[in-house]
Amino acid sequence: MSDPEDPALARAFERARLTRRSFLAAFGAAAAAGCADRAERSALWEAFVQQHYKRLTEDDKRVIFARLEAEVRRRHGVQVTIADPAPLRGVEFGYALNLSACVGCRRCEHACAVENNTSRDPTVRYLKVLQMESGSMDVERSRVGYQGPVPAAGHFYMPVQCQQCRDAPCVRACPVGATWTEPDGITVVDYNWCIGCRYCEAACPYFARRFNFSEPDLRPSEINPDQGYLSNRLRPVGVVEKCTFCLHRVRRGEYPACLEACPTGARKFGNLLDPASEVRQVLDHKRVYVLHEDAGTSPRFYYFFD
Amino acid sequence: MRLALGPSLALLTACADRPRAPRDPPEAGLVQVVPRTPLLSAWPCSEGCHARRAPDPTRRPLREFHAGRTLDHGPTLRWCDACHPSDDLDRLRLLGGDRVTFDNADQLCGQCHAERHRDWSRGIHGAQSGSWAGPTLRRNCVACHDPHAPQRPMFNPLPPADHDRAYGGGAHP
Ligand code: HEC
Ligand code: HEC
Ligand code: HEC
Repeated sequence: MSDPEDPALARAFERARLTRRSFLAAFGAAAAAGCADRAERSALWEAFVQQHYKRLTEDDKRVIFARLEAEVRRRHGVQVTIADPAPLRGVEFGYALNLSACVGCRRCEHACAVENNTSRDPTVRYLKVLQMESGSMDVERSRVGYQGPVPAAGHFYMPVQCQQCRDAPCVRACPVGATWTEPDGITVVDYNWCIGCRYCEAACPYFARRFNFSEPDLRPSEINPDQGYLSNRLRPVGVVEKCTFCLHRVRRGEYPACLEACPTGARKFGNLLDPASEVRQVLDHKRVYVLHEDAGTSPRFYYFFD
Repeated sequence: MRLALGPSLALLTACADRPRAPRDPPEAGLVQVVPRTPLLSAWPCSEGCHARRAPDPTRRPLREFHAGRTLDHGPTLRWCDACHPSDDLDRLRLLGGDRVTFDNADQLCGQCHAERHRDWSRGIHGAQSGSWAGPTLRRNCVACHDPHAPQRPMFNPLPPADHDRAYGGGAHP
C-alpha cells in the first residue's frame, strides 16, 4: 500500500523528520540548560524512543503511562489516569442504530466530544448526525449544519461514526502499522506511532477519521481524566484519531458515551457473540442495513428502521 | 528510535508482538427496570391529597387540581379511572381490572402496544444504561412517553460544529 513516490507520504515523512529535528533541538536546549529540568529532558527522550504499542511490555506501559500522566499534569495542571484495559475473551463489539427513533438532537455528538477529549477549537467531532431526506438513503443529499427544532418534517437523521469494519480500508492503508483492529473488533490508533500521512483518512468511505491540524485545545476543566491509552488520552498534534466505541469504557462493561446520552433509545450496543445481547436481538429480529455495503468493508455498525 | 525506525516495515515484522492476556468479560448480569415511584413527587397519592379528597369521575377540563393536564391517548382511555382506579390510587389498573405498581407501568402499556412491549423486553425498543454485560438498567415506557398525552415531543438540537455550520449543506467534512 505504501508508495515511496507518493507526495503525501513523502510530506509525512518530511514532517516526521522535522519533528525529529525539533525534538533534537529541544533535547539539546534542555541539555544546555543543565540539569534544571531533568524530568522534562528524560520525558522528551522517552517519548522519542518509545516502541510500537504492540511491543510494549506491561512494565514499559507502566512507565509510559506515568510519563504521559505527568506530562498532562505539567502542561494542564490536571491529574488524569491512563489505563489500557485488555480485550475481553469471547467478546466482539457491535452497534445498532434505530433510524426511526433518532431525532437528530446531537446529544451523542456532544457527549462523545466530552468523553473523548476531542479538540474544542478547532472543533473535532468523531460523530456527525446527517439530516437525511425521508425515503432516501442518499448520503450525498444530506446536511450536517441543520438547526432546530427536530425532528423536522420530511427528514430522518443518521448519525455516522467509525463503523469498526471487519475489513477496514484504513488499516490496510496505513504504511507504518499505526492502526489495527483489536481482537474485540475495535480499530485503534497508536498515536505515538502515527506519522500523520492521512492515508487512512482518505481510505475511509465513512469519513470517520479526523486529523489534528493543530494542538488539540481543551480547557483544564474540559479534560476527562478517565483515559485509555488507545482511546481518549490527549492526542498530540499531527496524528489521526477516531471513534473507538469508547474502548476505555466498554472494556469495563460500560456503554459508549454516545449511547448513554441518547434520549430516544435509538442506540444499541453489545457483544455480537452473545445471542442475548441487545445488538444481537436487533440483528435477529429487525431488518438491518450497513452503510456503503458496496465498499465491502463489512461494518460492525448496523442501521435499522422500526 | 521511533521516528527513524517507524517506517521500516522490515523491522516491524521482525519484532514479535507481545501477547496480551485477554480478560474474561464481567459475569452476565440481569436487567433491572428503573423504578418510577421514587421519581413521582406526589406518590403515594392516597396518603397525600387524595386522603382528603376523592377523585371526581366526571370528564372535564382540569382547573383546580392537576390543572392543565389533558388526556389525549386514543379513544378508549376516556378518563383517569381507566388507569387510576378510584379505590386504589397508589396502583395502576390493567384493562381486565388487575392492579400493578407504578414501577410496572409497562404492563399497562403492553396491553395495547404488545409489539412495542415485546421489543422493549428484548432491549430493542427503549433505552439502556449501566452495563452492556449486566446489570443493565432499562427505562420504563413512561420515562419517554407521557401516558396521558404520548405524542412524540420535539427536541432542540445542540449546536453543530462550527465548520459544519459554515459549510451548511454537504455532509462530508
Ligand atoms: C393510560 C393510563 C392513564 C390514564 C388514562 C391516566 N393516567 Fe395518570 N398516570 C399513568 C401512569 C402510567 C402514570 C405514571 C407515570 C410515571 O411513572 O411517570 C401516571 C401518573 C400520574 C400522575 C403522577 C405523575 C405526574 O405526572 O405528576 C398524576 C398526577 C396523574 N397520573 C394524573 C392523572 C389524571 C388527572 C388523569 C385523568 C385526566 C390520568 N392521570 C389519566 C397512567 C394514566
Ligand atoms: C387501552 C389501550 C392503550 C393503553 C393501555 C395504552 N395505549 Fe398508547 N395508544 C393507544 C391508542 C389507541 C393509541 C393511538 C392514539 C392516536 O392515534 O390518537 C395510542 C398511542 C400511543 C403512542 C403514540 C402517540 C403518537 O401520537 O405518536 C404512544 C407513544 C403510546 N400510545 C404509549 C403508551 C404508553 C407508554 C402506555 C402505557 C402508559 C400506553 N400507551 C397505554 C392505546 C393504548
Ligand atoms: C428511551 C425512550 C423510550 C422508551 C423507554 C420507550 N419508548 Fe416507545 N418510543 C420511543 C421513541 C423515540 C419512539 C418513536 C420512534 C419509534 O417509532 O421507534 C417511540 C415509539 C413508540 C410507539 C409508537 C408511536 C408512534 O408514533 O407510532 C409506541 C406505541 C411506543 N413507543 C410504546 C412504548 C412502550 C409500550 C414502551 C414500554 C414497554 C416504550 N414505548 C418505551 C422512545 C421510547
